[in-house]
Amino acid sequence: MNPRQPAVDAKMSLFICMSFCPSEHLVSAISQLVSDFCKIGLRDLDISSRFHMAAHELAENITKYSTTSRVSLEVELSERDGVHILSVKTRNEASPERLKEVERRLQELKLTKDPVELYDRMIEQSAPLDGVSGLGLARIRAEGGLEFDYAIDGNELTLVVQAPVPKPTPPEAV
Amino acid sequence: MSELRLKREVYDKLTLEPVFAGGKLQVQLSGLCDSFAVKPLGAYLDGVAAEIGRLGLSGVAIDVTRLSLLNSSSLKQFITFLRPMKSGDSECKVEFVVDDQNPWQRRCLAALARMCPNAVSLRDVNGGGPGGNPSQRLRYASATPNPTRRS
Repeated sequence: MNPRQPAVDAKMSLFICMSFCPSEHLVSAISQLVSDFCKIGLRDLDISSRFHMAAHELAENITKYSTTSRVSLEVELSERDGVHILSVKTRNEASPERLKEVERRLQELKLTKDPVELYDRMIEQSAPLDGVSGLGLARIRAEGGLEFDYAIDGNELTLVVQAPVPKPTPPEAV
Repeated sequence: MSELRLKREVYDKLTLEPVFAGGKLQVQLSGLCDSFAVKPLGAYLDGVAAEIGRLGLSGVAIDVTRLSLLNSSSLKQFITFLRPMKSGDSECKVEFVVDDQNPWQRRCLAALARMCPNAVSLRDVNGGGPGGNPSQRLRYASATPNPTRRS
């Protein structure tokens, strides 16, 4: 999988792309939109809440760490070989130091066989520290149960979180 | 009985409301714990900790049933709040009241129960489910496979 490109043989049934100037004031509105998108498209509160949390954490991260005035967040519901996949993809540019740190974390999260154990360990490690939690990505993987993929091209980070979902119910069928 | 020194507070999209009755303290959170709520939430929980010590409370309930989202930085404020319970410096028990109709609440706060199994429990406001099981692992109620259990 190349996180920078959509799968060529995937059938896309729903897609939203938001490109915006990083602002803390937009984060909750964006994550709520993702949640509503999931609720309408899938009619599954459990999945909607997991993607709501993931979108919120990712939108906070790109807002916090972007070094440019443009970031993006995409939501896509697609079908490939009969499997429906819901994904959230973010793009932002960041400092080399931040990219190095986030790559280390993403590799650890991608490779772990027990995301919950890793998340619990990170909570233990963060407990005595003041300031930012550093738990957002681990939480998406462990609590949200979502898969990660990412690509770094120069200063640009593309991050995808996704999960297989049940076949969407068309709104008119309900 | 000493008067409670906490009061209802509204910070942007988050409302915190204490109820003190029969020697029991419950704090209800309503709205949204986003980045704007992090510092006020931390300060409020400092106040709760102070009241636990001043009033000698053996337990406190945190009701999140009216909360729509808790970001990781806000979760970190609860981790900080629970440090004395985890270290054994405080014997106070903390019960998180969740609504299992909103599955994210139990999933999110289960991490705190795993971190602090002797002091933290979870209870479904509707009375259902195995609330308060500190060893509970994440469960996936939907048709989505649990990626943490894939080979």
